Amino acid sequence: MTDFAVHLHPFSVAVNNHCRALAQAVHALYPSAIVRKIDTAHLYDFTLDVKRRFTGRSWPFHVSAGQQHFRMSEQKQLVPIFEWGINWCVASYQHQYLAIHAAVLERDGKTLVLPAPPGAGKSTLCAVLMLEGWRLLSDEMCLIAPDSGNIIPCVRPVSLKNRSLQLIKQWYPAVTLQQITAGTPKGTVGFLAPSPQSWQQYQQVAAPCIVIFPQYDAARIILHLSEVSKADAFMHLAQNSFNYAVLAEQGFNCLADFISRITAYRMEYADIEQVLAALDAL
Amino acid sequence: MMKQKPLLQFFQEPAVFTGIASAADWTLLLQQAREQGLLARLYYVARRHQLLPKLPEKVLQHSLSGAKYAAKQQHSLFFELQLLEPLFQRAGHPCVLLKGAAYRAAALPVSYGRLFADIDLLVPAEVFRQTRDALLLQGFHEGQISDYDRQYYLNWSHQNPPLQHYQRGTVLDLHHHIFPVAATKQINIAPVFEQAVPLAGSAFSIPCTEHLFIHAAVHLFYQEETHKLLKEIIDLNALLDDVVQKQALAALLEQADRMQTVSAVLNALYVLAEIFRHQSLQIFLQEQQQKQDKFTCLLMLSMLRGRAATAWLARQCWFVRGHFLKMRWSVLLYHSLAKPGSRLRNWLKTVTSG
Repeated sequence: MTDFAVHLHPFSVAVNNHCRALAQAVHALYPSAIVRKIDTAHLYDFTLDVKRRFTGRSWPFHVSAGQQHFRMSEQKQLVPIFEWGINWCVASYQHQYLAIHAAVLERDGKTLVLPAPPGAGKSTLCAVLMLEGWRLLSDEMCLIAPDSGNIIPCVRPVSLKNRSLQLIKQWYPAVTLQQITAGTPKGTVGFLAPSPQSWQQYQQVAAPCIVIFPQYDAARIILHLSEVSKADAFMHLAQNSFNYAVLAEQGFNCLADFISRITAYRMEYADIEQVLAALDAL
Repeated sequence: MMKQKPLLQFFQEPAVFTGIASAADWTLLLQQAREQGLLARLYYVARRHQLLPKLPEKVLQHSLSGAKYAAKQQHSLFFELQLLEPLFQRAGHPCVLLKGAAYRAAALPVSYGRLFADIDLLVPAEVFRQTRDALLLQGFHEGQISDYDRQYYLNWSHQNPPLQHYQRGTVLDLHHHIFPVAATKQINIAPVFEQAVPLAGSAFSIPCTEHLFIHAAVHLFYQEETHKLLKEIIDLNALLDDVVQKQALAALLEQADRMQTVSAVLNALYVLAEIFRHQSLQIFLQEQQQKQDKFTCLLMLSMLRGRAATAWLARQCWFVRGHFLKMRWSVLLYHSLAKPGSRLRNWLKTVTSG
């Protein structure tokens, strides 16, 4: 049997899996306390199926949630497709939280939310900050609990793409990047394991504090940090949310409360050392 | 206890299921509820039966999450209807909302937490083209479909290809009938228009309770699709509640007779009585002279609660049966040969041009 379960926080996923290589890769990506055998006494939030299916030409793997199709994938691309499959479940079906497309990190009680469109350098920044001692809460999704206003962590391997992979390798030669996979729909993808501290505190919520909208600009010599008005920050975060519109009035109230607790900045940068210094000073 | 059909069992007897379900049952139930788009329905059914405090925390949270999504969809429906209102105010012919839009507009219990993918509208056949053109001018378009599929819709089906708004993304299914015109079976839909209930302050109207049930029964029993079977049965059961509350079972059969849909309605009533153990309905059916079609009901019950192999076999039979009902034999023969033929031509085109 190659079935396994991923006991993340705040969600757990049971995987009916027919690919031995995927099971091995996932066991290597996550700590043994997180990826275990399916426990019939545990109520799983999501169920994913990874099964071979004949398409008329070949036998690729079909990633689905029962009858709900996600993707077809060759075995060599299955790890990123599987990781995106978990994102797909979470993004489609959790409206108990306000979800914003953003990386979240925390150090000494200071919580940093980095929302950004693709290409702004969010994943690279997130990886660097984690490697510099910040605790990772998520590289992808900022989940805000409407009742408490706290940020709920969802610790997963950091997904790095294309140039991010090269930069991390160049800056941190000792770090291992796992499952580097070329030719996916998003280019070459690889994974960076969360730091031990991030896993130890994987259920520890954080109070919102700072929001930074990063913008990578290769031509910039000196980093520029400017405060963003609360109204602008609100609109930016609403646009970066997966389910702001679904939550309607509750979404508005939750985001308004969130905004009242944070200071927001826009950061234009090229040099990562300057970023680290600027964040230390905040 | 490991159940294979926890979703069906929950809707059959919510309190019993909630009392005895294991973690593995709930895991499977969540999964099946998402497949059928029934997470939000689960929430409202549990609420009506005062079971919310007894649900496991995770099930409560996920069903509540589904309910939020359903509520958002319902807001969007009213928003869209308000935008369409002026068009039909001017039109001077009836426009009847069907299925999900009708349930919601009438605030029927079936609409609580019910998801829908599109808005179904029915207009008289003589103004069908004119209405379609008016919608095109409002920003709706037919999207990418093959020439063959387009011809299929226009010549043999009962609706236009789905119309999508270029900006809002809303999808309208514009109907001139509730059943394909290429079928041997002819359904009389004049009563639907005659007895439609106008919505206060609106140009739209909705079918009366009996016709809502008849339409859902026709949809379930005269077609070949099976992937949302459970959802359709659960909808139908909720619509039956409305008919029973109105004490309109006899009126339902009268209307079915006028519309020539008696067999679909009897089959639906029989299957609902079996699945949901409605004893008074069973007695009512025994008193009727006309009976359900045994084979059809057997197929339906096998698909719903049979073992995997039996259900698979029943689905194959259902697929063939559904096609025979939708198209008279000459059309079906043409379709069976021409559709693969048209696909082959398209494939050859891509191969030779690439």
